[in-house]
Amino acid sequence: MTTEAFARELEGLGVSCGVELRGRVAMIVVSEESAAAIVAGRRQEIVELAKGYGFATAALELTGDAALLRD
Amino acid sequence: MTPNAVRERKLADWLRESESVLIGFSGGVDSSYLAAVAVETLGAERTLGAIGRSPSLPAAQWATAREIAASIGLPLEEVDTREMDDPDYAANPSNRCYFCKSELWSRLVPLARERGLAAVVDGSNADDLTDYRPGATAAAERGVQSPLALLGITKAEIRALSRARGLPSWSQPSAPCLASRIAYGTPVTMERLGQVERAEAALRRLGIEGDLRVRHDGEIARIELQQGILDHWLVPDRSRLLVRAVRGAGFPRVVIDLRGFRSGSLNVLHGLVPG
Repeated sequence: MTTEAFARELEGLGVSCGVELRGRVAMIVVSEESAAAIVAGRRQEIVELAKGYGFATAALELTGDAALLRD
Repeated sequence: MTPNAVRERKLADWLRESESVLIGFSGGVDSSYLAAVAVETLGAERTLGAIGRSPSLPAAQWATAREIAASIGLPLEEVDTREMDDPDYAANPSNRCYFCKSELWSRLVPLARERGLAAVVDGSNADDLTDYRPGATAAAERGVQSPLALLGITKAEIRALSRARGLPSWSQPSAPCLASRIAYGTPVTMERLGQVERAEAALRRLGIEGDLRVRHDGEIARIELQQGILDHWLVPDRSRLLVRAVRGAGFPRVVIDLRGFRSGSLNVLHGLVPG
């Protein structure tokens, strides 16, 4: 599966995550804030990677982790 | 004479030849500039702005349109449109804009005739010719002309010319209708339009300026921010603020697009244009 291969590549960048495909958007779902921070820091690289897999874009889910929702 | 001054003179000449115009007015960058040049060239008595009142027009944009019309001396007519009653529009196919603009122009073209105005024009610009714009077909079918596009005037040039004129619209972000945020195939409803409007308004209240979109994809809201501010808002402490704002508009899931804002990105997602 392309999403799994993309997730494995992200893991190689230090981001442990799941990838959910929504249309042509690869949604990156992380369970820790540290992973979200890595995604943010390597944004351009991840976008290019996603495009290489044929996705139109990559998006970071901000509601994937209960910790991100706390006030 | 600078290249932009030449462009503006050509536009004024084009308008003069038209003698009198009804302008499909939104208060956005393009139609505001076109209206300002038309009022200056033809006079307010031979220029009329007409704005379609629709649920897909954000309230903030409507207020802006009224303010800009007043500031440039443009007589403004507000016309109710009923595209939401059209099942072809509400089904939200990829050519949804065709049905919306058909409805709009079917009301504005007769209005122009009734008022004795010779031409009906819109603010489409040269850049629009490269995007997927089925609404342009509806305009062409009714004889609506697009002088800015016709004369090859781009968005960047319109912004520069607007700035030189002191128009407050020069730096305004593009403001397409709220329905443009809803994924094709997902029906356009009052509820969904309201969700998008509330979410974007909540993000504006956080101080986000410039181009901004909340794309509606069922239970997911996908936020697109300008590249320049994207990294700032991706920091977890700040992204929590985004989540709170957008969830308040009724979206259970919130994602932020890592590519940032792209005009017409839904067309790219649906393979209608490359990107």
